Amino acid sequence: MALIGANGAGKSTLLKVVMGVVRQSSGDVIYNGSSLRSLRPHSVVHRSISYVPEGRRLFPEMSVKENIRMGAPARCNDLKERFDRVFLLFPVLKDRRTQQASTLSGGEQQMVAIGRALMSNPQLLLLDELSFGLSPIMFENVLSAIEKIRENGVSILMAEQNSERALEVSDRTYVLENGKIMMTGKSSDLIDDPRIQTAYLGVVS
Amino acid sequence: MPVGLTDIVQNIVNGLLNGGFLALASVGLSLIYGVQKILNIAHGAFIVIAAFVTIDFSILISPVLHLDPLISIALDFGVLTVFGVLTYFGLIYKTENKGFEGPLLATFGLSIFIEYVITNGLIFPISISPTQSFKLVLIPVVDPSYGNGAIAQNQAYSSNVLSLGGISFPEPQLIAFLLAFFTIPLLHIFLTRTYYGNGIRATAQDWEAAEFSGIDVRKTRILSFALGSGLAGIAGGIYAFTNSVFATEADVSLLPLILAIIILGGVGSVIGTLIAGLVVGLLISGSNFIALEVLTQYSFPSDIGVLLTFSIFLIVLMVRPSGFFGRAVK
Repeated sequence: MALIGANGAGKSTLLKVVMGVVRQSSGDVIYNGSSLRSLRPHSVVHRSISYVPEGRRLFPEMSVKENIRMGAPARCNDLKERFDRVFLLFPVLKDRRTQQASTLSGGEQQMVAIGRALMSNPQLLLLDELSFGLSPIMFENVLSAIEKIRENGVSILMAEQNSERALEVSDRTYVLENGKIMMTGKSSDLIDDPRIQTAYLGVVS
Repeated sequence: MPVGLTDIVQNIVNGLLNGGFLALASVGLSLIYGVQKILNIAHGAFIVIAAFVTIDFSILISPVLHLDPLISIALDFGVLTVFGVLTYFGLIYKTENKGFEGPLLATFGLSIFIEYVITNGLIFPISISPTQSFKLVLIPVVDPSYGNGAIAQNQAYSSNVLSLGGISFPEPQLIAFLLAFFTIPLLHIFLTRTYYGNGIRATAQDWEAAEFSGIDVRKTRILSFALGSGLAGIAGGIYAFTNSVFATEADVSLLPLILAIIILGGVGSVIGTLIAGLVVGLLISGSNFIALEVLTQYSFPSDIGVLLTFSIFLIVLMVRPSGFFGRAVK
């Protein structure tokens, strides 16, 4: 699922509300039939939701491995298997596991952030502005990793400035404007919608 | 009397031995400040509480149970850890999200309270007569100039002095140094090798990111405050062993040194604090040495060493505002 919209439309805020990072003033977040309202972020993670924030937000002075470890619970019997899954998805991180996170390239940092989020074995993965600061090639690499994660049965909700790619890779898209859902539908339908094309895809009619 | 090489080396040794204690006195506060951005002004007072726990233990419990007073240092760690948790819930928890000033004022108030209680002997029975049956006797004395019970004098834990090539290592100082030197790397290993230790570092670097990675930041903060306070406890025990005479106002003289060490070592950096503690220890002994041997000849007062220490510290701060290691190393 994708969330698209202009700057300030409320995409990131929506994801932060789900995570409990930002408190909503009204309304509720229902997940698997129960409310996430008033849960603190770490408890939301325990409900199998993970979050990759805009700008990655790694722990800059910790190593790649330490960063990824922080995504797993304190007591974790299958820690090695979880690490293996992340390293299988991003082999480059295995080579760089002892490197300090702040010395990585933007794309590698994004991989660490995704790897950290996967360590809690989420059923739902929230991705905020994956394309932020990445070269187009690197963005494509990251997107293909996300594709693999989805194939493993993890639901994805991504907020993305790059509306075109978001519409192309997602099944369903929500278009946000000023905090409200303006349009929703199958991504394959929306991508051909003239309103979407002029407003978000830069097509001149 | 001419200054010999032995005098200089002895001075360096004294500085390093004292520096170990100073590092241990600082590392707990550095940890708390690094994680929570809370400056616990009562940290020095925590150290003094622990010193009195050790004195009381030595007077009341050691002779009865025939325990070595050194054991009280473990007790100091426990007592101050609990005290830290109580302080956290009593004073910090409500104020920590309301900016820097809240916890600062709250812990400042706490330090005055602790000082008053100890100075007046309200909790610690420091006027009890010493027992002579054990080898360590900490003798509380009532010095009129300090008010009732405001100063405690302990007979040394041991008067043994190891001598190595003309350089003397007093046993209590040596034990204290080794304890500090053992504790700080242990803390470093805890912070870098365990999940909870890494959780503390992660929270220090980006608490929000820590939270949405699944770390319970609230528990982590309690843990770091408790641990930092417990470390003040160990430092306090050491303080009672190595200082033959000390006043309850000791925290007032300790706190500026502790702050200097934290800034020099880099906030939150354990190894940085250890190095900065040793450097400040050397700086103090060097300053005092120069003050005594040189400056007094030009009719400066002999305690000008303190001024010299802080002058050098200020110069270092002007050249390297964020300490030896640049930004905070965690």
